[in-house]
Amino acid sequence: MPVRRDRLAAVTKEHRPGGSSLSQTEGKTASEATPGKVTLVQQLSSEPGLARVEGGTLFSGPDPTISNEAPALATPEKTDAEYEKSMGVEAAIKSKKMLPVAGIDGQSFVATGVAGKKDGQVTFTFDRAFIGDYKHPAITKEVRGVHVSISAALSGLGEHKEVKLIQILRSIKKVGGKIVTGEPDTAKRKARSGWDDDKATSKGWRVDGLDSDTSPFYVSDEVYGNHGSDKKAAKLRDTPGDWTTDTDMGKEFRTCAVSYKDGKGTVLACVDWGYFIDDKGVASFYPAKPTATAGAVQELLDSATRWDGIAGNTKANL
Amino acid sequence: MTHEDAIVTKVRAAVAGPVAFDSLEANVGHKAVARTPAVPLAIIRRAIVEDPQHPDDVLAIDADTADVIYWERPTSDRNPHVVGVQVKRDGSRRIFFGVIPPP
Repeated sequence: MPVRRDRLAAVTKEHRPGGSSLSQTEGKTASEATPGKVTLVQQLSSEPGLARVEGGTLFSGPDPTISNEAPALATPEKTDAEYEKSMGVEAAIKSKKMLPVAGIDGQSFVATGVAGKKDGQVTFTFDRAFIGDYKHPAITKEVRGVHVSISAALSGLGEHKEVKLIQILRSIKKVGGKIVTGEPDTAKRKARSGWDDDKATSKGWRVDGLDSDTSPFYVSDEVYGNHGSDKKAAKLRDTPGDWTTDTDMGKEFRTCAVSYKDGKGTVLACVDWGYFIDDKGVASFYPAKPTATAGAVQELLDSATRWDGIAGNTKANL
Repeated sequence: MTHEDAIVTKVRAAVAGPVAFDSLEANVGHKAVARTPAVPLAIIRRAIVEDPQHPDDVLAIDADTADVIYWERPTSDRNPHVVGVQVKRDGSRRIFFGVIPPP
């Protein structure tokens, strides 16, 4: 299978701590650094939510009687399994056509100093990070790419008690030895990417969603994840790729945790990840290791501004 | 008549006639690529995008959608093209066209 072996050391149940020295990223095992799963559950707040405006739409707050209760521990493993079965990934994992990626699968990447708070952190945990080939569930065609299930857990963020995930992406390809932005493949995606606008900033980057979506938030169905809070990690599942006949292309992603405490979105942190298939058809994570950063990345702000300018869209309002 | 014309014609005929959802595949006479519930609506909704050659026959899956079935059409394009039938909860049906880009 054309998968880069040097990045595919077997991952066992005994996850290896990352110990990364990245300035704003720290590799930890999921069990060590997923406060949304364990630690934050122990830091329950008794403050009920309030009605609020998110991206131009009024949402009612959580039921106070519910927010006072300790949430049940999430069972992402079960839901991840359901997603993997639906997407055709389960069979690929069982047959070892998709393999866990050491250093990413089960690892956490932490953004610190979030929202200007010394102790503010967003922990992005790759509960699942696999690479390889799988059969597209909606067509008889093989896909080569990656499978991720990312949790975003908040800690030390005080008033930021609700979080939604906005993901942006761009297609990439290699031309003349350099990675450049690839052309989006539908008219809607081109519009969201500013593809036909010579003055577009972060041209090629777009909010990730269905062509029919008008909400900027990634999760359109529970199978793809859930929104989060200071008690429950937000979740995103994605399995991007290209056809197995494709080479020298891939996609880059920025998965961002956004709070709408005061109506306007506050980007708490983002994690960068993606994949690339080289000229020999070998797939690898691109970059080789995700990076978490506090605050917004410019591509997100530009993509969101473009999104907000499209008629009929619920504004991201960042 | 090309194969493409043939399968689209058969799907149009199946939609127009009193053919039950479970009999559509046999009626069309070609193996479907996918259908509910074997492939969940949420997966199909995310997979299929508009076919620019058929902008008026887009698959728009909403809460009223009960079932979807579709067939692959021959194409030289990089991405597969499909034609299918969407069945609403009230029993009404419509044909749709779509393209499936890489996920």
